[in-house]
Amino acid sequence: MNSLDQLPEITSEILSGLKADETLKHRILLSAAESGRSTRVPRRTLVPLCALSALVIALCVLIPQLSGPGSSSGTSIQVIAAGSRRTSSPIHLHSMITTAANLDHEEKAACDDSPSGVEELSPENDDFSVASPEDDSLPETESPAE
Amino acid sequence: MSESLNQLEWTEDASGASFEELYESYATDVLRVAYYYLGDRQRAEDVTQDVFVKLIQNRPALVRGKEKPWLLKVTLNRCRDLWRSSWLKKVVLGHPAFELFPAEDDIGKASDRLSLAEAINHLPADFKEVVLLHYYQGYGVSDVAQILGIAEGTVSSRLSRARSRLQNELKGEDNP
Repeated sequence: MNSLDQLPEITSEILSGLKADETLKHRILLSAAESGRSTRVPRRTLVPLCALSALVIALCVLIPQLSGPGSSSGTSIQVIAAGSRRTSSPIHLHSMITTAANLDHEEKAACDDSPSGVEELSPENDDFSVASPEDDSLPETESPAE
Repeated sequence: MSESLNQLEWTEDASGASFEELYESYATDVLRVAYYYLGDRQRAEDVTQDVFVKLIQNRPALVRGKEKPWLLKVTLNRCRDLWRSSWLKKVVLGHPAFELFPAEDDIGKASDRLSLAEAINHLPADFKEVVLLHYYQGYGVSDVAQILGIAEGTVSSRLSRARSRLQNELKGEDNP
């Protein structure tokens, strides 16, 4: 077709008013600046954002496991007396720590000359057992002082 | 606006051409090809904008002399996406009227060229692409095949069928 061969000339005639002008160029530059700004920022912050999310998720999972149920009232340990009789009164962990610290202090003071400061656990009593203040049935340990 | 424009750092691509040079040389061709394809000036400008924004952001390693084929390839891809996405609208509303944009001096001469431009605009997308690249942009069959990523035989076949359709349409016959 002859007219198809003349398409460049025909186009330059019929579309001669359709030109890429300065307005379009300005629009392109503006669009590139805006989209470049919006796409670069997430890429830069992607890694710290992922790390932060992973940390938050890990904390959410671990914190309940560490504190455990009923952590607000302190950690309680069930006490079993030497006679294998289960007592009803729990002992709070922080009171045990305080008692242990006091014992340690007294121990230091008395260990030089007094043989009665230290309690030794009998070999038969290898259970971790603590006597409650209300409990009368103390573990059968021999105190050197007696 | 000038502040945001200053933040755009354009560096010359591998071919050594700056954005200004590429825009001045090829933007009008890109705009007209997009207009031939879509028949809508606003959309053609949007496509031109997308193509040059992509050029700025991706900064492809363009070989000197191969800038225009790259730009036309991206243009046709973008036009094809728009063409497919607006398929329903085209079917329901019909083809948009091909509007002429003659310069003031050419108004008298331009009206009798309208039929060919309209006929090209009414071609199926596959035919339109090869006609625009071969007859309008002057690329050979092998270059068209390379730009579109199809076989040379396919390009020749499409050109032949496109010519036949155009002939029929210009004669006022119904296309099969």
